[in-house]
Amino acid sequence: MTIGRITNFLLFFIVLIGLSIRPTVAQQLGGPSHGADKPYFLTAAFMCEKIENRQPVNPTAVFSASRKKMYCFSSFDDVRSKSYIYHNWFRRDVPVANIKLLLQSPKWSTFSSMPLRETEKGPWRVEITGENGEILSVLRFSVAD
Amino acid sequence: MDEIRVFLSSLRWQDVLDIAINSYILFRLYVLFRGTNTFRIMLGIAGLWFFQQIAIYLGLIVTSWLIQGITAAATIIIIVIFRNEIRSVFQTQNFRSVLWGVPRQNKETPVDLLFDALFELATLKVGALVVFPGRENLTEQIQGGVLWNGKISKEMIRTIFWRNNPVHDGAILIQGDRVAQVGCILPLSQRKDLPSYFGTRHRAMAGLAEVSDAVVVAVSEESGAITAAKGEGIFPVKRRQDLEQILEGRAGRKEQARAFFKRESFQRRLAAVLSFFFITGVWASFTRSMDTLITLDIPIRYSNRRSGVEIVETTANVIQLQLSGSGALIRSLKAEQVQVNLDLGKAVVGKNTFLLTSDNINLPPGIKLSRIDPPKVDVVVDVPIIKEVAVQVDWVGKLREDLILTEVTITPASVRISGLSLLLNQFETVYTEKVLLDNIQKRGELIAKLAPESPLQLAAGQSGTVRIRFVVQQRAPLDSPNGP
Repeated sequence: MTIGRITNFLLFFIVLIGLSIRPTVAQQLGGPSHGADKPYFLTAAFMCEKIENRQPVNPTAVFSASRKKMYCFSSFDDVRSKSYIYHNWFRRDVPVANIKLLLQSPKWSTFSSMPLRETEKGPWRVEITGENGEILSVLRFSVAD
Repeated sequence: MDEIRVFLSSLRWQDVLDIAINSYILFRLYVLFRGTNTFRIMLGIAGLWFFQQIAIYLGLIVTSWLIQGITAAATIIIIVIFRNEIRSVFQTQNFRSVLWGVPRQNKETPVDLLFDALFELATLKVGALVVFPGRENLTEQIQGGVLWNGKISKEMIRTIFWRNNPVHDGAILIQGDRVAQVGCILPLSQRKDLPSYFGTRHRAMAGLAEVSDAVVVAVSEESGAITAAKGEGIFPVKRRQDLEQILEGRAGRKEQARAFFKRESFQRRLAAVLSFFFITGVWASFTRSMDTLITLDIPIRYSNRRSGVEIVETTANVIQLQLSGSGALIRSLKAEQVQVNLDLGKAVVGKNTFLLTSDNINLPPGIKLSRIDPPKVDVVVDVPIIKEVAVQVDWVGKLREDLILTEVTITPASVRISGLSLLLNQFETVYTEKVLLDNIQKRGELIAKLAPESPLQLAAGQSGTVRIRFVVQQRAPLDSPNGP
């Protein structure tokens, strides 16, 4: 086996490992999507109880209605140019809010929030979509007592 | 031509039967009552009805009302006044001849009866003059005359020629079995070779016989002799056979009988045709007028619905139709005879708007569509589909304050549901039954039943339960117990 062939073999594995350890930070109930032609890449999406220093705190699948707000955090990489994404909030498949959010190059994290109310307990979901409505990720969670 | 074609195509078999039955009834009434006073009054009533229709057409309200009243009264009067005549008509016929056949009237001249009558007059020396017409019309030769039209009887002949009778000097005219006229004045013969004892009566007898093909019989007042004249000939009549022989040879006797039956047959055919047209006219006036309105609520009938296509919603299930037609037709109209059809052959999934026209409405012949309410109908149609949707846990209760549910994995993550496409498009999720958070202390798994919202249904072969794996962690302390 020549040195060149060994080098190619190692390079292949390095690339493979590199791809496998690409940050796919725990998607609670939905996964990020990526297309080669997309102007950005969703690296992480969480429902969380708080945003602190642009980072999600206490990612969760269940919110207590006794708290004030719930947050949807999304983080993007490889943002080629200024773009917009949407956080579409649904309660039991009924649209509640469409929130337009800005993405800036090259990396960008953004979030939206929704007040927690006693009357709005039950299953929720947030669809993170691109400008043309393509679904990037779906986060499913509940509001309980 | 188009109108006639449309009219004929709109005829129902009931209409044809209706016209046929009533035409036949009218024709039978003609056959049974012809020549009676009742028949003449019936003709008058028919004329009144005709004028009433003209009055209605012209909008003469009082006139038409008056004629209607007179017609009704005349109908009652005819039954009351002519009840005996009506009864006699039906009594003299058997049931079969009332319905079928033509009562054959004896139109042959009763020579026996006439000879007996003339013989009696001769015995009593009462003068008489009797004319038996041949083929020729005697209107030019005979003058005067009083219409009699009485059926021949011995008594009547004696009465006519009885001395004190005002018409006894004239001749009687025999037609068939009837004395048609009495007191007729005949032309006198100018012949020189007649016997000197021939008086005016005998000269009149010879005079008419000379100028026509009639046979004329005279009874002498002086001698009581019976003499017959035919052409130039004068014949004594001593026996019944003599008269029969002379009358047998009467010109056109057979032709006359043939002509009589031919005329009778023609009149019957004409009566049948007129009965048909009259009843058709009456029928048309009853059924083809548009003077009555009715409003019917008719349910919509959908046709040509493709397999699997379902009607989800319509703006109207019942259409209100305002129909017009004759009172008779409208009264006999049943809702089942009217149909409102909507062709769903070209309907697409979603809302379809149909404009209702007369093409959508099926009506019995003679009924006209005046109004459709509502004029358009929106129909939402849908097709059943199977759709894959995500499964989500419906968490309830309260998780311990120091714990946080960080991860939930459901197996299977999605299920297939079946239903109508428009409905399923509104759903992206099937939820589990409520899963209690209160008892969750650490990571674990549980089985939960799916609880699809009505009217969602799990597709065939789909399990009704899912496995839920969950991860709990200690909650990181927040600045505020109630969050930011």
